[in-house]
Amino acid sequence: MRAGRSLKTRILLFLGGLTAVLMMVMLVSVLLRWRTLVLDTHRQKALAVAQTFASSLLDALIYQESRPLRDEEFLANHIHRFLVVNPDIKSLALYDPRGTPIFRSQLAETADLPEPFGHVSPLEEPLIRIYRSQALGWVIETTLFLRIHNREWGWLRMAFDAEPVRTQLRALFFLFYGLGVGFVLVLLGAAYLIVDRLTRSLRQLVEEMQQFDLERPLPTKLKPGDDEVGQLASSFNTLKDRLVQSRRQLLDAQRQIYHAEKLASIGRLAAGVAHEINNPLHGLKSCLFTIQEEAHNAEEVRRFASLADEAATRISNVVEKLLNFSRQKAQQRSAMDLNEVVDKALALLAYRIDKEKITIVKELDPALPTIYADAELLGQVVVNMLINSCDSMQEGGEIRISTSLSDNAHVRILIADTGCGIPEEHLDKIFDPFFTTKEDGRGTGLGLSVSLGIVEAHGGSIHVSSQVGVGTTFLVTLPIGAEP
Amino acid sequence: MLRRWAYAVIPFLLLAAISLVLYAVVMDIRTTSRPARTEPPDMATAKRDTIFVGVVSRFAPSLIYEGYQPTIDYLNASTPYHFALRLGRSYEETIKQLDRGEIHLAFVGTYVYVKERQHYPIRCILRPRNRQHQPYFRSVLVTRADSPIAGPGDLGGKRLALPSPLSFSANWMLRAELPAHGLRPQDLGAVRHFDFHHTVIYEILSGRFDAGVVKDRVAEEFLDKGIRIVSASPPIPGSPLIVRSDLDSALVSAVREALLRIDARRPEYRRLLHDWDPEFIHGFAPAEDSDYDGADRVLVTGRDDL
Repeated sequence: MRAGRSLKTRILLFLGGLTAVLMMVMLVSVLLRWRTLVLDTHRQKALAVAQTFASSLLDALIYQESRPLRDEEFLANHIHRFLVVNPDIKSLALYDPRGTPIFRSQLAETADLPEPFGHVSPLEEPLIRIYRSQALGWVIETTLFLRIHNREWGWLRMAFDAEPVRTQLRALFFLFYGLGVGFVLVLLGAAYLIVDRLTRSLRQLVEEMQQFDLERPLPTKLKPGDDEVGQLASSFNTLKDRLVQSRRQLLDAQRQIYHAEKLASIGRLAAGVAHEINNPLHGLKSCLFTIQEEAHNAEEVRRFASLADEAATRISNVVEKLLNFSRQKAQQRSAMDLNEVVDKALALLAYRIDKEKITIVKELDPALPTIYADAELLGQVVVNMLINSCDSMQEGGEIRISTSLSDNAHVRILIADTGCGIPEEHLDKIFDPFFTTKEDGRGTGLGLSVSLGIVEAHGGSIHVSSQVGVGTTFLVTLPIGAEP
Repeated sequence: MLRRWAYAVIPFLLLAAISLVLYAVVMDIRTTSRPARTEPPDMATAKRDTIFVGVVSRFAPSLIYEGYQPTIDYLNASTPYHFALRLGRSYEETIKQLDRGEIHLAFVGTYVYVKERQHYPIRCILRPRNRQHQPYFRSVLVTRADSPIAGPGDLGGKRLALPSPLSFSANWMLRAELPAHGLRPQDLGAVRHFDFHHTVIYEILSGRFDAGVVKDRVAEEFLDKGIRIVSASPPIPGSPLIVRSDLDSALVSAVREALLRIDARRPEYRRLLHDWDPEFIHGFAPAEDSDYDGADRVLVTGRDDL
């Protein structure tokens, strides 16, 4: 499991991302709102100071114009006194209604303050603006039109130092930034601990699942709990116990089936053996009885002795085949030509094939590779199959036999006849020893059993398909093998 | 591995970029300038000769302008002349300015006019109306609502608050009412003048003075606030607008015509008068010197025999 895709990482990424975004939106909103309040407060403060001074300045202007003897320094003194007690005012300028300067503080004379008006024009409301001046730095400038109703005295422009505002905003920014980062970190830490605690149980569960072996079940390390993970662990433990129990029951059932099948095979074997031996044995007993009764008749004795010998030979053959089936002949593998094996088998049965007017269609692949197998045993397999095909046809018929390359590692022999076919219910029994549908004396029921044993001993397989009244097809697949 | 590093670094780079932008936004406090209007000044007005109207600066000059400038604005708009206020530090100074021709018209008090018309060539042309649309006012003696004082005769030994010594109300009490009730100022516990009629009311309400004299207009504002009127003067013509006797009759006519046109009972004029000095918000009535003869007699006899 890659760490980048773990549940813990995904939860933390999602939670962290979501929290960070939400915190950022919230803090930015509050910060900007706070910034607006700070700016408004300073603007209002500047405006209040300006308006207060404008009121007293109006009185001074009125006094000045009403006095019979004009005191030219009265106004300047009034403004200077105000500037002395308000050091945060960086510049102050007074204009008459036509825009001609009446008074300008020292800085105002050199400051690059933008003109507030193109010409004389009454403002309905005070003009407040914040900007950066090269000479004065950041300033909050208020411009008031000095008028009472329609009587106009001029303009008052005051520039307040705005650097304290920026200092306050800077502190505010870092305060919010620190709070935001701190909050996100604390939240992520808490989330990590919670998620780690949650996923630890899941990780243990996963490890236990990966290590679980039905063959060697180990005692569980998971502790059932009240929460969902605990319930999951509890369910897993229950499931594990059920699997172990089911496995045990399955093995028991398999053993019982195997035993029953073994008993059935033994029964069929015994029945087959008894049947095969019983007939010649009765013949033998009959011959011996006749010999005993006709002891004086040498001719009869010789004849029945010969018959008895024949019956004994048949019994001996049955016993020998039975022994061969149980012992299996030791394989002697060598390079061989499968087509040659087929030709020899056909030659061996040529008399019967001609006699029973069976047509042989031979399709042998001339490019068939040499395989490594026991040629004698495979010849026995082909003969057994051909005999079965011949036995399945009453009069005439066709047997098609072909060889071909199945894949790069296997070859196959296909033997298809147009015989009576095998009923479906017998298909799974035809390879059982002594199972036969032939009439008594024509088959021992060992041919296909022996053939399957030989083919499987070579690492191959036999597949049979049949349809009653149409015919049967045997497909033998054999590995090419390697030189021993 | 590179991709994982990119996933880890990109959020931090993004956060740093957003932080820088946000910092710049927070620290950039400049505001957009609102363009000022560029109307040229009224040069026609500037070129006209100015007619100065004298007013005594009883309050801060800007407050005087708040009350009187609307009247000046109205005259500027309603006549071919250009008027401007000229503040005087006292009634005497205003009368002298009028006499010297430094000002052309003046708002003065009833008592000042009655007193000074004997010494200077001045005459009244208009007088203000009261709430009942009558061209007079009354001076009233007021006490706290719970005071036992029932009239001027009860003022013996009491503390009396009065407006300016040059106000009609103060002189009515000192020169007419007290003598009429057999009292002299020294018979009272204390007599003190204050600059404003409202201050007289506040002194009574605070309990520092037992009684006081104010204009009826001011007293009526406090009738439901603990003030009671116990005595009133006969109707007295209000503070007149005066001119020098030889002032251009066309100018006088223009001023009279403009101000008499105002009918405070009509809504359009009520809106106009809203910002005017409270003395003038009910409009004006024509005034002749003879209208103030009665006031002269009141100061002597305590009654208006007209």
